[in-house]
Amino acid sequence: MSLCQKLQESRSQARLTQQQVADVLHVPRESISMWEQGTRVPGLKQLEDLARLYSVTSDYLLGKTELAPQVEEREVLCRGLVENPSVHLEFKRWFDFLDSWADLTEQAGLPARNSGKPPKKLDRGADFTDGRQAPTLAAETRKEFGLGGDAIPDVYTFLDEQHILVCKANLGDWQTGAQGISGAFHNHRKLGYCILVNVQNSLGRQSFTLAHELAHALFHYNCRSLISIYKDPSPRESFADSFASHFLVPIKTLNRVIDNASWSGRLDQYKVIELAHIFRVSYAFMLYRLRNEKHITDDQRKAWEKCSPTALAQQLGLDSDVFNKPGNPVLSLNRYPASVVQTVRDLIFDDELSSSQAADLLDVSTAHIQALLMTDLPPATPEERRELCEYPF
Amino acid sequence: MSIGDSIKKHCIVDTSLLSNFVFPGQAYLLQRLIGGPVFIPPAVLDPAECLLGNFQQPPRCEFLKTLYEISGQAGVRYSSAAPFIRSFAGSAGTQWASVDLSIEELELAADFKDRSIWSGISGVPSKYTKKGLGAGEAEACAVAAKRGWTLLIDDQAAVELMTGLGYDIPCVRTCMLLIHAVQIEIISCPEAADLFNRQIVDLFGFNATKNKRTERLWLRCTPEPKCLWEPIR
Repeated sequence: MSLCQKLQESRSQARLTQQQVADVLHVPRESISMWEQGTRVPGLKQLEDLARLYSVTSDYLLGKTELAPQVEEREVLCRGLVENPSVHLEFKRWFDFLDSWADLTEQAGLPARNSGKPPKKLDRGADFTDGRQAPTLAAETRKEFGLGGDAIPDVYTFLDEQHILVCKANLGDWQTGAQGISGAFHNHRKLGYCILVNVQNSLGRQSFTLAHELAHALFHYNCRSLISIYKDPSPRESFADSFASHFLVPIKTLNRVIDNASWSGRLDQYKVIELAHIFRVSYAFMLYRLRNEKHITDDQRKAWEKCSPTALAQQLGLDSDVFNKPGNPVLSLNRYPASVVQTVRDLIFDDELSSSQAADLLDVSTAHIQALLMTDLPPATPEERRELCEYPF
Repeated sequence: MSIGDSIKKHCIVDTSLLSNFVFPGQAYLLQRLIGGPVFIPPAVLDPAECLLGNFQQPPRCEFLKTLYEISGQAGVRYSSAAPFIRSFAGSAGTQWASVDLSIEELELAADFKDRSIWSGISGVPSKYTKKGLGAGEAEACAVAAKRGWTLLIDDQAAVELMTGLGYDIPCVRTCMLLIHAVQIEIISCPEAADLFNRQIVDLFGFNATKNKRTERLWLRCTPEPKCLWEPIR
């Protein structure tokens, strides 16, 4: 069978129209038609994306191999996403990046620093779902990682320090009819725990996703892949939700903050937004947390849900970044944790990787990689320099 | 084969070398050097994506990806290049021409992008073999290999691969192209030196170092125009 026949047949089996494929690949529909008629040939990147969308391999489309079964856990993960081809493609790109990254770090002799298993003290077996234990386990997890009881300033940084590979993607806005995917967990055979986060949610919501996926990593590590979908009622998801609630907002700290401010019995929407700001979580999450701890009633939660968290934060003079929904943010190197970017930079400096190989690996422009390598570092602005002069030492 | 003879043939370019001329606003210099439009593979610049012209979503081709990044915070170091990129992308037919890959070229490009391509080649320094070529380089090499065109490319991994596989393809780099431009008197040597040393390397970050950043490539004018590797002090 020729390339054009395979493209047509694979698209048909994936139940996608030419227009859907064109929209996802960002090309005119006529291009898809010409590729399938054999009057034009797709480029290499397009071929790879077509293979991802159709759940086959580039080699199969090129007739170099027979259709091999997909890696099982990935197929399970992606099967539910076929309805949304853009999300499906993002997941497949994530998996391909993880494989390439694992391959490169292995080739470069860099040690794997995440075993894909929890610390012994936290190990409750490979599929623990007893939600009643979630508060205790959240507290034990904080203790194990030396987090104390305070708010975690940046969950992304915390996870990067634990060598958990967190990547970002635009997975759609669930409020506009997408499937409501907030993130995913994958226990990669070589890299260990890996997390994908939907950055079209607010930073506060992303923190919840990260803590939720951490629960999967620590307590469901035998399930190699899990997607977190809005309002999924499965025991694993309920456990992970409960864990995330207590991990991000420990009850003792919450009560202490409320007591210190003499807010007990006097909570209102402004005080809730301040609490959410302190703990770097979303307003909606804090409302549920306060309701569950009986600081507010369910009627209050419902009534207060109608307020705009961004506007409330701005009125109080708080940084509203944690509550803003960022739309469709531009993702390039910021898709990856700082540790990945630093490693790539070191590999290029050590002549282990070329700029174009790095750009291809990270799916960013060569210009962006080159900017990372400049010896002429970005100069400080006069305002930045002034701050340095303020210090007497 | 001399540089002059090499660029008399059809020339196909990779992203890095193309960017070196377009970002500082010197696309016309490239066109004058090779006497016509430069050929570009789809992974570098895809006319289909140029037609859509909407970079709210990340484009797949490498050259336009820069514009998408510039629209966010990430591209702040090279944002001055945006008008030149847009202008160049819109000048298909005059400054550049797209290459329609054949199936054989696509297959070869897929081979070049796969890391396993290195396993059949001996004597290549291991620093190049940890990954296959980038998509743009792989397509450019495949076209050059199949059609006998000249490769305008700075990626040493690509040059090593072509040599290792026994392809006799002329490969021309940015610095040598500029030296040639000086020799045929379409640019003065101080201008070429400023373009390469200050703009392409210092301003836009072209990686002109080797041996773990102990040596840097300079375009020098005295005693004669030359590309020279010098220790970094």
